Amino acid sequence: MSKFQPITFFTRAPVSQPAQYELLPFRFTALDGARYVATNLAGEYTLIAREPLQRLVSKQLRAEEPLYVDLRAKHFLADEHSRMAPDLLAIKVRTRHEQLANWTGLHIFVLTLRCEHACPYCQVSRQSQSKGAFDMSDEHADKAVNLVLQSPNPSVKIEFQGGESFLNFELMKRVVLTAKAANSKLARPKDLTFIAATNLAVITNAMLDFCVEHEIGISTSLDGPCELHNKNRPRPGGDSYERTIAGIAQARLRLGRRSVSALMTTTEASLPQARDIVDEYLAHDFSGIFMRPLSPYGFALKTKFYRAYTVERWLKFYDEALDYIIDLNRQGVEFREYYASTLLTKMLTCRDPGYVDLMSPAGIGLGAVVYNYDGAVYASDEARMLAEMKDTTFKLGTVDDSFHTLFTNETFLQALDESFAYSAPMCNDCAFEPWCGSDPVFHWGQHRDMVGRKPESEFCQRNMHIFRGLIHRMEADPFVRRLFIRWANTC
Amino acid sequence: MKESLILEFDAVAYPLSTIQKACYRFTNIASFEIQRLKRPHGDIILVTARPLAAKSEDGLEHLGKLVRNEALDQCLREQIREETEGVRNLVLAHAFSRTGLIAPDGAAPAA
Repeated sequence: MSKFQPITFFTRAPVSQPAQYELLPFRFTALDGARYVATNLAGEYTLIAREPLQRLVSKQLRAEEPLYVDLRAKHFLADEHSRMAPDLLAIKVRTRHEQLANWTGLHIFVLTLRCEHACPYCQVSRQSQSKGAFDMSDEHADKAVNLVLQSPNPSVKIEFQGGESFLNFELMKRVVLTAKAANSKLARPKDLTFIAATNLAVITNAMLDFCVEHEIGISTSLDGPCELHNKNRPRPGGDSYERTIAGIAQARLRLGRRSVSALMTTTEASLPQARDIVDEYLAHDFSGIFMRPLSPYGFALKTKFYRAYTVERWLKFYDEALDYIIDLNRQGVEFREYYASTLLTKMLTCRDPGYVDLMSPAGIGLGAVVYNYDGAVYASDEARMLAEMKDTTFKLGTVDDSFHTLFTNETFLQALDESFAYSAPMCNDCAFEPWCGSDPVFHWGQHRDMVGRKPESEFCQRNMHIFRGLIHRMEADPFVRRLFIRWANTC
Repeated sequence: MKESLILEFDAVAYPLSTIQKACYRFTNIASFEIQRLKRPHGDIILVTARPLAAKSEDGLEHLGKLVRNEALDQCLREQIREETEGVRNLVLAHAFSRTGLIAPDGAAPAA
């Protein structure tokens, strides 16, 4: 067999003759007045104007057109020179969904609801520090550990949450030691990691010693500059900021810089301070920031915090922060916005970073599962927040149930089935669907419907704006494209 | 101030589902009633749009243009969907073949 294609392979159809080709599945959505974003099944995108789009679908494109070559390379069409296209496309789709076969990797333990902070936007009710009734019991914790290790996923992360997780440090120690001992006895021990979500206000040297010994990462909250942070996160003494900053320094010293991360939450008071918030993260040597809106659950709703600003106002805040971060990079300061990085990984690579809100089938149960302080098991962190509002729709069962019973729960399977974005109204036409998610808990909270009404969905509005914004920025500026490719490949 | 807008589509050129999908996209702006009617020169699809909040005549006119353009987009999407259905199913079947989510006909999915 010759190494080379015969000469006839290179014979093109005469100029002005439409090429012979088949369409491969793709979707398109308007980007602006003139252009559409088109994505193939694997989420690779191209921009196309209406006229060539019409010609593409009606098989009028000519083989020598640059657009034709581009569309063939990106698997929007196949011709006699690209017979492998469906197979290659399938491999890309398979890579994107490879985590599905592994099942749940993130297991959240709500060690206690107790917290000494009184954040008005907190999603779970604040409880007095002394109320043991809001702590997880040893028995429940042991049963939860047993469930965790039954997950087929070879990599399992246990995340400790609260309240303030370190207020129940004794149970944290028990879970870590029990899980490690049980894991070591498995025929195939899992890659087991731990992370503690904490406000760092009550952390002690003994706690840090334990974190060092067992490589427990720290995820804390930093809402912005001192005045904003202390306003958002009141505690006795009004010194949340001071304690957080001191805790970050201490934890980094002991655990290393990369083991300490921080999250911000946007309140109405944050909105005029986008740049100051970014500067605060820079000042404390973080390599990026995750710009997060408030979630429509729990206290945030009860105190009307959630409705204090519209999705449009939050998007303006987000855009200001993102443009500022891009400018910082232009000046040589390496810093990133993590939500954009997550989206860009989905947009520009075949990998799926597994962010629970942006998964389809939905990330609930599949991407994360929550063992609540009272032994109840929920399909996601948001699901247990909903339960604090007396809505237990997404309760899978309790730690007394078997792994099989929990994950074949009818409500859970129904939520996965109904919310599958691939077949949801409007999502099934949307070019952004391969990058997006279905978030049935959010839509249930908003519309009492797991699919939600997409034209009114804030989730949809927020993500579509960000997708379009990222594409506009990339297409308009080669520097931004290079920057975004870097973010996408190191997410 | 007009309270409703009537749009007429040729039922041969526009499958009913494309008009339904086009209208659904604007349900945050208006409510829609869709009827398929027989006419001597051929069937038509009649859409009555009633804005959820009061709209000027120009605003209503603009909504009509958006629905018409969306209906055209939906026709293209329908064409792509029909032509690529076979290969789409093939690609997805291949992609999910190792997950246990796709079982042979009559068999239970892998445990």
